[in-house]
Amino acid sequence: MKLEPETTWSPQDELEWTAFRYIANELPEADAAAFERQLADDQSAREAVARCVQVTHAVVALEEARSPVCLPAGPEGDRRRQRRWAVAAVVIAAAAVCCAFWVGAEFAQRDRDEPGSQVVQDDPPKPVNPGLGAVDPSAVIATWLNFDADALDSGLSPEWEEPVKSSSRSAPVADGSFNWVIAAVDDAPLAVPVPPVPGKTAKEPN
Amino acid sequence: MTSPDESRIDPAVVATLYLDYADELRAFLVGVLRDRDAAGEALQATFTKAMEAGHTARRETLKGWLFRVAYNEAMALRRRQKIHAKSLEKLGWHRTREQETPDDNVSRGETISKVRAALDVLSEEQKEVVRLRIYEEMTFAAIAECLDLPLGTVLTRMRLALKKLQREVHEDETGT
Repeated sequence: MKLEPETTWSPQDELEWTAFRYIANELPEADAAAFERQLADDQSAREAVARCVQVTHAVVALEEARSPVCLPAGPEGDRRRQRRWAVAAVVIAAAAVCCAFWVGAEFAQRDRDEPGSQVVQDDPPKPVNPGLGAVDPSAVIATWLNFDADALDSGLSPEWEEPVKSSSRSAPVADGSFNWVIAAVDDAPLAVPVPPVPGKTAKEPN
Repeated sequence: MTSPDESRIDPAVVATLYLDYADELRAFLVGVLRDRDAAGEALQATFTKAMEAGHTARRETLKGWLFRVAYNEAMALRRRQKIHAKSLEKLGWHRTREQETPDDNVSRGETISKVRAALDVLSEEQKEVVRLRIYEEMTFAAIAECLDLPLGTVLTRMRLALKKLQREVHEDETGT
């Protein structure tokens, strides 16, 4: 332990020390009251108080300038407690994030492992548009395979020139072969003319 | 010093007194009241009284007269507002920079630069005690416990540091 050197204190030093302990609330109550009585008459004591306050202000200002983060004022130990709370808050937040990731990963793994969670297609998916339920998918494919843009442009395809026979909501296009597209948008039952499939005889729609 | 009618002090004299002593008086009042707002109120009352009754004081004793008036105003204010009990609960009087005026900052800036130089004179042990007592607001007993030192050692370090700081900061005023 390092011992401080012996020092002799002058009356002025004693006064300054008492004034500092007074403003720092480090004087016993009786001594503080006695010092206040002294302040009533002793100009040097008043000036000592003023000097101690000025030095204290300056030290605080210097420390605040040095500290990167200025914490608010508080009684003794508040700043240290606030620092501890800040560290604890960061740790808790990090732990919460880790927990959230872990829980999310667990649920994702469980979803993959559970048999019931897998997609089982017992029934074929129902068409969104009931009107399209009557359409044979192979006929749609065949339609696109036989699609001839030039013939469409020139209107020479004889099958497609047949008028729509049973559509209550006529399509805005003259060619009935595209009614199923419009019906999909319209969400209405529609008689779809099925184009001839190569090697098969075309059937009239229901 | 007095106005022609001899009943009031010359306002120019009061203005000069304010420029010369307001900072020191405010620091004194803050030390007594531990509340910057209350200190400002007491300071205002002090100079109001100076306008009314300053002519009764001799010029060579005007500073002491102002401090005595300020002390009386502070005691009266403390009795009225009972701020003493509040101040004992929380000593946050030296952290009210936002309430300071530009003049405060200028005068304080000079003191700060002097204190910065004075702190360089202190030993590391003394600086630590000064920082813990003044900035961290730890009691001497808590500092002794924190640093695992006898209370007397902490008090001596603080006392030596304070002496050096006061000497460096106020040597111009005292002429030493």
